Amino acid sequence: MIVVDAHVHMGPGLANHAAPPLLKAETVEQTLEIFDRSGIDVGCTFAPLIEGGDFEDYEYERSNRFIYDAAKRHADRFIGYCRVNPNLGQQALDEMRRCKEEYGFRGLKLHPDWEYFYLNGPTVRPILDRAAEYGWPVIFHTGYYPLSQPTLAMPLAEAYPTINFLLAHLSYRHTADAIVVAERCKNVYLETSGNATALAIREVLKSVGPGQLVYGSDLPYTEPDDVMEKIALQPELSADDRALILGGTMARLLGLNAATRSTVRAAAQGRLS
Amino acid sequence: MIIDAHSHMGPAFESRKPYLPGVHPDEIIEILDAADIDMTCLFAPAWEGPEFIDTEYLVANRAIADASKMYPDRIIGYSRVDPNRRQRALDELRRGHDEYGFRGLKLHPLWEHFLPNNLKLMGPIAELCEEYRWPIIFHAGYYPTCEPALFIPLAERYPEVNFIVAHLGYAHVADSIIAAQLCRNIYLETSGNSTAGAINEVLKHVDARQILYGSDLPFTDPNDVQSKITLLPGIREETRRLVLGGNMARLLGIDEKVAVP
Repeated sequence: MIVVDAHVHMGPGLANHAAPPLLKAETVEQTLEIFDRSGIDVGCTFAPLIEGGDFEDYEYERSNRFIYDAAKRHADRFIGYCRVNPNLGQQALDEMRRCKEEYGFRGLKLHPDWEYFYLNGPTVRPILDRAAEYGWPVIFHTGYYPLSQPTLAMPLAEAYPTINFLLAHLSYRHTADAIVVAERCKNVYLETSGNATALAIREVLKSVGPGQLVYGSDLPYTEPDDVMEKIALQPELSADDRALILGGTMARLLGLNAATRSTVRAAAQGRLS
Repeated sequence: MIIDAHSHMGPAFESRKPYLPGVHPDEIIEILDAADIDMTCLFAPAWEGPEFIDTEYLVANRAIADASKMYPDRIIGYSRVDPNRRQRALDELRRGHDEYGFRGLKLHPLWEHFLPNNLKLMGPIAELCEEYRWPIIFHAGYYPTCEPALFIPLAERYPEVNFIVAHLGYAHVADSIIAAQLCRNIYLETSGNSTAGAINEVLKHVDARQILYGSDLPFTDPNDVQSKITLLPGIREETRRLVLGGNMARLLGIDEKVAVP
């Protein structure tokens, strides 16, 4: 079994938050320490949101670069994801190209509220065209009205059938809507991070099934053990299904092959032992 | 005298078309005339790329300055900044005051992504607005950065600054009422999708001196919002006068008798 965390933030921007995150993941070492003690083999890792002030990086250029440096040093632990602001148009596309060609990133994180665009708005289309070209999964922050309700992902999932979309946080209080979207669109996956309750996870398992539910923690804003516990506590969840949720499905979406998996596991176990 | 507390204009509208036109000052004046509005508090809309990129509102604020110079008796210029830019936001506020003659500030906690009760971030901005005697109008109503309750700590910390909660806080009208009851320096503004029922509710529970007519033009038709106020059954003439312009005139130090064209 491989444990893939679908939602990890890391980088210097974290030190700059007005409200400090629960855990510390400003450096690679701090993040690996959390991975190791929580049994996370690999993390889909991207920048936190940028609040300005002492660390100004509106275009995410320095933040993406930081993720690249980490993934280069620890290719077995970090899968680099790109972050851009779709409103910046060509700059965002250029940054995506750099992340693909120079950095070898393998996914994209978008935050409609933070970057201010309607999840299904016009500025996101060129970004998704590019993500489709790169074969990247796209993880959206979801759950806040009026920009990031999960229903807005439905037209996108239908327009981009080759892209796998992850709706983060089980869309917070809009879990019921997220379930409708995932039932209809097989390329939509619901991700468990944030304040998702065990009950919300159970609702998703009952309605959508384990195949479209993926574990993500949103560390360092949350405690990954806490999220894993909510999954472990699910009644009547088979070991196979649990393995899918904790990493099997993400490994498939990212094309982590069996060899990669065993390498990762060996590396992780070596670190843990 | 009718003063609109909430209106937008700017180059961002060239690519992003609102309900009514709002790129050129003449278009704004046309809307004001059609709705019998004497003066309007005018500020930039949220910038949305990729056709128009102006992350620090430098271009948009200049356009507002030009408009208010063109029509000084009709247009009251407000600044717009991103508080996360810290010192540069303060610099732009200062430019708005010293060079542009602005008289207020618009902030959008969702678009610029900050919490209004983050007093560390908001402190320097509120202090400057206190010095300038500028009201601050906040977009309000969206979870998780614009709930009306988040304005209470700010209003209590800066009692000399007047804070305007736009859109009556949308779905959070009940919370807006509590905020306005607690803080005399919180004002509720009627623009957006506010229903006549919501305006009536606010008038029942909040001092009429704390309620302001605003339209959010050109996203809406200002006549529509005005009629929701004027057609309220049993509204008193004095209340109508205060809401439609008297309160805003007081906040901005405008002498109604002199200013009426």
